[in-house]
Amino acid sequence: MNAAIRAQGWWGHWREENQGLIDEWRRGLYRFRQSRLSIVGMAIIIFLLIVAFTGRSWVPYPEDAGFTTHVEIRLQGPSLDHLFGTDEYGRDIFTRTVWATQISLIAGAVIVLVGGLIGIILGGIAGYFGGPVNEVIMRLTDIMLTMPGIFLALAITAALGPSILHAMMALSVMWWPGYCRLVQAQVLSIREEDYVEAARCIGASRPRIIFSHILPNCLSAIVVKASMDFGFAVLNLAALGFIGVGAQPPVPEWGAMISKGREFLPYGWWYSTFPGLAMFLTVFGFNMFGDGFRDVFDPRARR
Amino acid sequence: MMKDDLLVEIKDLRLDFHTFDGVSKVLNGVNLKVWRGDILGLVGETGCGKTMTALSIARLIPCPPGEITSGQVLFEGENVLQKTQEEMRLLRARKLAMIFQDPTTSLNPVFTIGDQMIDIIGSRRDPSKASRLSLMGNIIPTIRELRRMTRGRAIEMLQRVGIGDASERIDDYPHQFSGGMRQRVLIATALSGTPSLLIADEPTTALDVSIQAQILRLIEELVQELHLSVLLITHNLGVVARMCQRVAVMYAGVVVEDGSVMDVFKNPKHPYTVGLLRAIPTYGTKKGEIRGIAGSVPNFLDPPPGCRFHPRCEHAMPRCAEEPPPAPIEIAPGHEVSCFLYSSEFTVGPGGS
Amino acid sequence: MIRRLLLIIPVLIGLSMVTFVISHMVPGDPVRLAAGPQATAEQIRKLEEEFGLDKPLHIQYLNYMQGVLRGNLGQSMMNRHPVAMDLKRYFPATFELVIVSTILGVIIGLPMAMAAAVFKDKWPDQISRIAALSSISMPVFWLGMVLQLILSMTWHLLPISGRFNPRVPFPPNVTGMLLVDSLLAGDLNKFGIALKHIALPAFCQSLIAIAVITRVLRADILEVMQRDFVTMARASGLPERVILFKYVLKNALIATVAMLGHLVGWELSGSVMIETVFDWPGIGLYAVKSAMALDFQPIMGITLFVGLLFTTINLLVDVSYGVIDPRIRYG
Repeated sequence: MNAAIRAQGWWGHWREENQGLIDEWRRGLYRFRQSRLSIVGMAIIIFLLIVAFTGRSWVPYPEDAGFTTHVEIRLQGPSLDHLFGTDEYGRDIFTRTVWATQISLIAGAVIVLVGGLIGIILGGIAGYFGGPVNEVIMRLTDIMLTMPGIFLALAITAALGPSILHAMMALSVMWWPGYCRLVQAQVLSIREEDYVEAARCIGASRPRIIFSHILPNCLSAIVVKASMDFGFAVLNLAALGFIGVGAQPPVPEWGAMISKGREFLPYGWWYSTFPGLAMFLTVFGFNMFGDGFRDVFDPRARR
Repeated sequence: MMKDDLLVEIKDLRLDFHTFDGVSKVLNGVNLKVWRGDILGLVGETGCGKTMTALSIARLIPCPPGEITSGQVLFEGENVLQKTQEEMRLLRARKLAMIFQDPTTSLNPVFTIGDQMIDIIGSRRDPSKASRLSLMGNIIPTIRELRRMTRGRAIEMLQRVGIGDASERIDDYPHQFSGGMRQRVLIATALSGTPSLLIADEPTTALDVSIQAQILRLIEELVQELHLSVLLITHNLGVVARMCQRVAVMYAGVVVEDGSVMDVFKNPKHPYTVGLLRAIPTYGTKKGEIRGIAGSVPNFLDPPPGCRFHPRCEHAMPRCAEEPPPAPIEIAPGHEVSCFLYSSEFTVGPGGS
Repeated sequence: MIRRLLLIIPVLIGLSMVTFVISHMVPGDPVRLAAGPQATAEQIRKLEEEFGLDKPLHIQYLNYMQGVLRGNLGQSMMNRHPVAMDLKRYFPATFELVIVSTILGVIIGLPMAMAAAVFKDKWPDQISRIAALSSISMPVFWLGMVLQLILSMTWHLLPISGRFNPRVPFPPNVTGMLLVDSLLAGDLNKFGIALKHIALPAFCQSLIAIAVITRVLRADILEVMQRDFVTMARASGLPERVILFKYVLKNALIATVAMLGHLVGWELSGSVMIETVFDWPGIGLYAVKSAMALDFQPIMGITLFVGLLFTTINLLVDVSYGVIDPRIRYG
């Protein structure tokens, strides 16, 4: 009973202190609700997340996600038994597509998180310490950004050996420079602001300055970028899978499935079409959501 | 002055602006008259709605966020608010000339001033052919010819406003001119047709003090030469005293007092006007003696009820907080005030309670 | 300006180092792959020697860079051609594809952006927004296949893949771009063939351009329309059409030009997949084949080449700023 009252007091106190931020968020939420596209995007995402995370329990043929074969029903078109048809081993494509959704969503998240984290840390260090440290890190970033990342990711994945894990690693490497540059620019400008100077005068330690003062202000830009990046990460992963250097059989992955399906065109049209549709829908949903998100939370993009 | 000579008449104009934080009641019943041949000064603090009033005459207020909720704006007897877009465009091309505050941003940076002037001069001359003149100028030879002929007029105008070597400078870009020169270019452009009304929105505020006098003199000359009527918006009472015949004082979206410069300056009636004039330091003012007006400008999102000035007014009465201020009351010929102080004493003329 | 040119060099060197290290992290053995399963140890050793793989890493790198400066980018293990020659052969195809798709992107994107800006928040705006979002969400390789399926295999409207009809000789080589060359030779028949072949790949490639142009140009147009000179133009009685197509557009395009550099970069990335789907003999396809064969000389060559290309394009974009924006030219 006492704890509840104390918790309430603490919450009220926190609310007071951060009233400005709360107002901002409330306004943002209001605008978000106004954008129909974002709501639709959000609905799609929620639907997908449910599918992805509960998928294993209700797919019709869970064993088909692996190496099983049912040769007798190979390459059958969509039917009531097999909504998306079967592949060359007789596996249910619907099951595999749903399975692939989960894998891709997790993989995409990991790519963005890892790449983002590396980029944020490096960018933060570069921006804060300036000088030679900044130069070195930014040159490195420039090098990475000198070419379209896909070539690099292709080379890395091929070098390490085709596998979905290596593809994820390669893509994380491709991803971090973007965040590094973003954070570095933000930190560099915020560092000069008065309130950071004030904090330093009171004697706040360096890490504290970085974490409680500088980073929160970069946060909105980072979140906006991350929300748009997720879709691209998924697309790139599938692209690598399509080329053949990403996920390897029997792992169900959209790109790999689409690539395999090529061999059976034009007869087995369902093989490539459905996984691709699923992928498109997923990325589209995330992008719509991210777009609305950005409209709301990125002050510069306000129309 | 007879009714026919009334060029512009604004009656009880109310303008709302829909912002995210609420509805901002920018104009709260503006009444204004500009007579033909008049030079009317519109004064008030920054943000009181002067520019909005001027833009309303030309109907240049963007109408999502903005919304005119009531009132009339009569130009030469016709209600501007009821005209079509095309009619308004023709009006602006033929009858109106506008000069804005910041000459730097009023010109398109990626075209030469000659290009822009030719577009506008051509448009004022023959509004129906304006599109072809501006867009096809480089493609069709006959139009190129036309542009060249208009160029002569542009050079003439530039010379008239005091830009020497106009025939060379006409091919320069706006950023190659100084602030004062740019304002001259804008004046030349604005007056290149045969407008009836010149609306000048703080034409010298953004300029150096030394240039200000020159520009004002230029405007004076041109006004006399072209027999223009002028609506001069400014927050500088000195400019009003020098250039204007009549003056209207605005506060928080309402015109509180208007009359001839002599009447208003010598005999201010509205408490706001009184405070304004009192705040001007004169030669004899001693240190520490400057008297401002207590309080601050109201928030347009949530303005005080009744008269918007009442929280700062020395003579505020209970009814000032309850009822909106009265329509302009004529306390002397040509001198009107919108204030309850004068409502029961003088009931002659329009308004009154 | 000079500073930027000078900065390119260390960046490219860094790039080459990074790529070099990566391509030598190969756990598999490219030599063994190239030599085939029947190769003896002796043959493998000879191959290694031939490709200089027996020397320490940094020596290999220095040898390689020396060669680069002389124009020698090494040799492909797959087909024994000099990499430089392969690049020269494959580049025009990619170049043509990128150019056509960018043009297509502008043709479709510009009007969409303008409609979206003028009719802000009404249905043209919403449609263009959905179109743009769909374009960037689209897995291009999947769309390419679906279009192939429908338009080529089922309805036989367009060819399935390839750049040209294998039974018809190319037009005389002037630029390496089939469309241009056939026009220069006055051969409309060949032009038609080339056009039909490039239609699908260019369309798929142009999606990213359409998406970017639509969004960025729209935002820029909206921003420019808020500026004072637009109000001034209106106050002077200029028609809306003039304001939009002349006054606003030129200003808005300036900002959009900045995107061009990045756009080409994205298109190059897309070309990797599109060339794979449509069997388009360009650098993307070359890169994929080399990566699969762990053929690191071509990988290095391609990386350096693309890096240089990209940097050059960005430089060109910066220079073109000066041409378009008079403030910079006469600043």
